Amino acid sequence: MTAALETLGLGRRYRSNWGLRDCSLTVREGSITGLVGPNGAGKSTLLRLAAGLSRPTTGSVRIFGEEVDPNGTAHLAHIGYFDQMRPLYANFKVDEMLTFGRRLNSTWDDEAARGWLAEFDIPLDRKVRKLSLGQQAQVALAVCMGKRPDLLLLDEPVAALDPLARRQLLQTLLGSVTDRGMTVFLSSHIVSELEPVCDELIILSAAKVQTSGSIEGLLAGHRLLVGPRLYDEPTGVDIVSSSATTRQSTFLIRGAPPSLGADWQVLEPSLEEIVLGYLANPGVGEGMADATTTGPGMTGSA
Amino acid sequence: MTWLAFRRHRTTLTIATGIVLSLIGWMAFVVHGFDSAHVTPYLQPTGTIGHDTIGNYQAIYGGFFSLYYQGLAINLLLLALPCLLGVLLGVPLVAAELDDYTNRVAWTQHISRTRWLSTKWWVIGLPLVILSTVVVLVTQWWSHHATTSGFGSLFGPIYFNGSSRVGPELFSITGTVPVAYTLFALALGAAIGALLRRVSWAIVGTVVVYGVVSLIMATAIRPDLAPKTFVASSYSSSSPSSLASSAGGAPWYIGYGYQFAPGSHHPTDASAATLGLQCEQLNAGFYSCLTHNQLEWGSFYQPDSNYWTLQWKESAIYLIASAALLLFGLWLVRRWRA
Repeated sequence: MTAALETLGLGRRYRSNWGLRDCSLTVREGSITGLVGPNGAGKSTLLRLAAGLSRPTTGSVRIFGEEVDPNGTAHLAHIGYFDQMRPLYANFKVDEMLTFGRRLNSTWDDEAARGWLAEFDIPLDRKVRKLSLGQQAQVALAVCMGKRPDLLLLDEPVAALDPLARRQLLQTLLGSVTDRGMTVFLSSHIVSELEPVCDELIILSAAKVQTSGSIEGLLAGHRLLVGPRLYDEPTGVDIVSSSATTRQSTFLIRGAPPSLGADWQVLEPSLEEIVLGYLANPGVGEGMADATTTGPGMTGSA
Repeated sequence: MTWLAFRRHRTTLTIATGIVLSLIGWMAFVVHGFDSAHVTPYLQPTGTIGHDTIGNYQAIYGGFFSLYYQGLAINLLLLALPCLLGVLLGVPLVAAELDDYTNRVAWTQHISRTRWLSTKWWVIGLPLVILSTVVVLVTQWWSHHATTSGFGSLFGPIYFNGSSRVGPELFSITGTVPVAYTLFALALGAAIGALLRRVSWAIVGTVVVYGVVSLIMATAIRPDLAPKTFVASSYSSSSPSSLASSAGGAPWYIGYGYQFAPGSHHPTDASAATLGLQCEQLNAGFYSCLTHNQLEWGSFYQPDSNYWTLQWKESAIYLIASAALLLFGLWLVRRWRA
């Protein structure tokens, strides 16, 4: 099976610091894959590289098996890209944004775009600049939908929306995707938003992939150990993160829990706890990701 | 893409057209003023200059808002117009998109960056060529009419910009060069906009570079684009005025300089200019130094007859520079990365 998106050793350097480094990952065709990480982790860099807006410093990025050339148009037929900045022509009417999409694309599904706007009650004759930030995001998404993409690349699509609109957007997205067999790769820094919609998750922090896998796989592959205060980390376990109060130690571990004393509890962590555990220790996970990668077609950073 | 380029830039295109039409209207107003000023004395053919004409003289030369000063202001505007249009239409071409991040939405539709930019070029460039051609045609009519008809015919020509069409003031607003300047300013604005990525900085950059290039062209390059005429100061028979009458129009005085006397054979490789400067060091022995080196000193002119040669060559230089700047802008756009 071809991957919708595949990166190999992908890196992008901005002057002296790396926006993304040695990133190898695969987004399975037909999946909804979430990309989580703190601000500045490299999520936007990765998505811009995939959209051909940026050029890799190292490595390669492929969309449906074809290398992305920023000056070519081959990858553009496949993707719908939603930029974090939600750039739109401010003095265009909403209707004109649809004309923009129709004129600049060889295939254009006007019904899908208008349907999306109708779903969210966006007036077509209103100027883009007069819309709220959330409505502007919907217009940008409508242009993405009208493009009939095979792969939707969404950078923080729900950031400007209120909680109710977030849920509505993600549900509508889910519906459209399953109807049309689209692959979605979306980023967010809020894990709880992604959990209900995503099949797979990639955790990115400090310009590197920490771990990736299916959500079930991640949940099944991690455990929380809670017990009396320990001043040294237990050996023989793969510790992702640890925290302690005066009386109690908590360890997030990867893999099966070791046999411990009766005063130790083994708990199932939530997805958020797993993600936060990784993000708390940016050095952890790199090179070990393969061990817990259970999602089909997913590989962690090499 | 044509639709997008036009829709995106229609406001600035409308403003540019408005500026050009207002300028043409103003020129017509000034010409009309001169024509009306001339009517009265001709209706009363008394052979003497009457009261009305003195009133007309006031209208033309008296005060800051007189027709003469309006004519001077129009001249300055005509000189600045290519740069103004270049800033207005060229700078936003790329820089405004980078400023608003709209390039990110345009470049992720199914269209290449090359086509995106090249479509913008002609959607903006074609109207600009038409506008500047109209301005040149109106300027020819205006400068001819305002200087020779009406009041001017009574008191002699009224010159806003020197009497010579090869001179820097008139040369730059007539012929083919204004169109070439306009295209150059457009390409320059687009390239600097793509380089600096900010509209505000690009406006300053474009104005400065355009000004410096115009200055260098007028002072260092244009004088040598066609063979100069040399009038030796010792030959009273060939003064500039006689040169003017023989060539059909006033020449452009470039400056004084040195030339080897006709029929002379000079032993060294040094140029006449270098030898002349050496002679200038010897205050008292200046003339004997000139004689010794078989030099003449006098004035260099570009005669009126070189007008079209200078126009074509300078236009060609500007067009080549424009093409280079357009390609540079395209290169910047193609290698741009977020």
